[in-house]
Amino acid sequence: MLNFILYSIKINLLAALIIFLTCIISQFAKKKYSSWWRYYTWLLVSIGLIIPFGLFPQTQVIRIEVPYQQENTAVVADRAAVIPASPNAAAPAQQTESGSVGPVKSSFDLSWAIYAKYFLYIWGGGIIVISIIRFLGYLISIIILRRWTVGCTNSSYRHAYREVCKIRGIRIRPRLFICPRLTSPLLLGLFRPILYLPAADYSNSEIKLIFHHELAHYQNKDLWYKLLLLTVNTLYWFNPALYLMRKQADKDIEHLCDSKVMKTCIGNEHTIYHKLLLKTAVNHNYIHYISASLNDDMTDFKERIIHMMKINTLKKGRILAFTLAALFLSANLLVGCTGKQKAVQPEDNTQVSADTDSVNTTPDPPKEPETVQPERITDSTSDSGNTSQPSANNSNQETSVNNSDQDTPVTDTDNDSSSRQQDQQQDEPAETESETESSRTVSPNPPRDSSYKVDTGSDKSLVVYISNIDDSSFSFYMTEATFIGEQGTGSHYDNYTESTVLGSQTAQYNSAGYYECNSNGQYFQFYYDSGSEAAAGDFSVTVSGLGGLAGGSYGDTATFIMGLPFAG
Amino acid sequence: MKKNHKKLPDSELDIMLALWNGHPNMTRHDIEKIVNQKRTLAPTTILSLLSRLEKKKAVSVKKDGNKNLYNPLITQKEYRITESSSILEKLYNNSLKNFVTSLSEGKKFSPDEINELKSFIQQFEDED
Repeated sequence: MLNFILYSIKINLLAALIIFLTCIISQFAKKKYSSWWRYYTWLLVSIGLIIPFGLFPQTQVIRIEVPYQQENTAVVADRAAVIPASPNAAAPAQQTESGSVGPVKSSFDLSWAIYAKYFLYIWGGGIIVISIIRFLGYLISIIILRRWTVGCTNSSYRHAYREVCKIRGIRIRPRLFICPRLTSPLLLGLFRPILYLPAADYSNSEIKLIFHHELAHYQNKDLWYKLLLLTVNTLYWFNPALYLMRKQADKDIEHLCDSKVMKTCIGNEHTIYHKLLLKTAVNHNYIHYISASLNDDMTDFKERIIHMMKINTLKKGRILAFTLAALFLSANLLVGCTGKQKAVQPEDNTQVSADTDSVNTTPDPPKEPETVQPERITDSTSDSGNTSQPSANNSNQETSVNNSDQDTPVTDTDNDSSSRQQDQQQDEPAETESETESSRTVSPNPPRDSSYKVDTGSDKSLVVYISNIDDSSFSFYMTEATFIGEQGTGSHYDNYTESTVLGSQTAQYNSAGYYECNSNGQYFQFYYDSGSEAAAGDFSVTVSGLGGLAGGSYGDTATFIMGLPFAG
Repeated sequence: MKKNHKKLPDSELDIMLALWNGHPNMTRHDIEKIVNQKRTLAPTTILSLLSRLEKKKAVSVKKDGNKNLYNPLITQKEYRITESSSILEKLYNNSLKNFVTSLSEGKKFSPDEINELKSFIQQFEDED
């Protein structure tokens, strides 16, 4: 959904750009070119706005990415360090943890998805409201129009009408009616158009010119054109450029029609035509219920006259139209904007990617999608005295006890290991050997595409952070904490204090960008009993009840490998 | 003539429109021809509509031989005024322009502007 909205914004920006360009070019092109190129530019832009051919990433060369989910890093806990460290664990040292751990950047990231949701609602609501208003207006006008319609009995009109239709090669003639409330002739109707005339006395030349004009609209299918532009304008009502486009298009339609009329003018008919236009414009005897109070000014009127008089010398400007359309099309195809989870896999076809919208500009911590094995890194640096760790196990994955080892590209300024963190981030993709620097590695097979963070508190508790853009709250609880390590697997579920392990807890999304449970500042913190046996190695935490996450698109349990950031 | 006419139903208005936009002294047949361009009404229907209108004093009847000749008693303009723009009409004043093509958009020009445009047009006339 986010991608769709980003796409819509993208094409509207592009369209606005093209429209703007067109207006600028028009100033210079006026002297040499007719309205033809603009007419076609509007047409192609409108078609481009309706057909979503820029939606697919395969064609994109430049990709602008909007981060919208927090990356998840499961920080490896060194179980070996737990024991000695557990005294620390007793007290929920959430403060330090939350302070240091926080997915700091996340609140901003995540809100993109929320913005998108609100945008969608407003956008959709606007479409509905505008469509209803427009449609109702149309209906009411039609009812009034039809009520005041009478068949045309003027035989000279009818005769002239047949004649003009013949000249123009029209077989199926729109029906001809008189509507005394009109002040100007009108062509109305898509499938079986009707030509309405005002109840005025037109001379023979005048009526013929009128017929030529309106029938030129008919043959050009201008009503369909107008409907297309109106549809696009209604769909993307938030784009101001489209209103401008429609207004100009209305003029361009008339210009082109006038030029078609001019072709059939002989003698001084063009003067009659000009006067007719002026007469129609000026005629305000009747009550205007179909007046287009565009209040176009004199300039527009003059331009119209000039255009039709110069039409023989003006060029169509095919290249101009084609170039603009090509510009629109290529920009649409080549530039993409997608939401990107700050997660493991860089897209294959991304050649350039820039976080244009992220608050933090730190790049994603590199993650390895290809990594099958969890990489283990030993960290000797935990604050809470993991000094014993390095000695304990090489293979231990070590998380810095500080929860600041987030691999969200967040600055952990609280943490004195922040620099280490940076290192870690860089180290991550590559590390396979144990190092004294702690780092995070990538979970090989993330079971879901939401992002989580599993971390350890300084007290060796397990902290699960989950961010979910779709739900504001959800419940889950840990059902199993299994140790997978050198020493084999075993359940250490019992090692976790009951109060936090059992039962379901409801986590509320907080402004810092993760789900908080209760008032702890973290959620699902599972404390490791101090007296229990240290577990070294990977840990897997099975969490149930996560079905509500990410739109409930996946199953109910997730297995986290401790210490591994989640590929989002 | 009454100044205040009640709003006529559609079918009666069709008859009036035929009378206003036709010619004086129309026969029922004349009226029928015009009305049927818009909607098909049986001759008897037309006759009953005419008699209703006659009762409302909107139409006058006179005999010519064995035919009836009809004339409107109120003018189109007058009637139009009584049926002036409702609020709805005012609200949706411009909405139709989205869906139609027309010769010209009723711009409001001042008399000065009109003159200016007239002379503007003139130059092209002289070019002939």
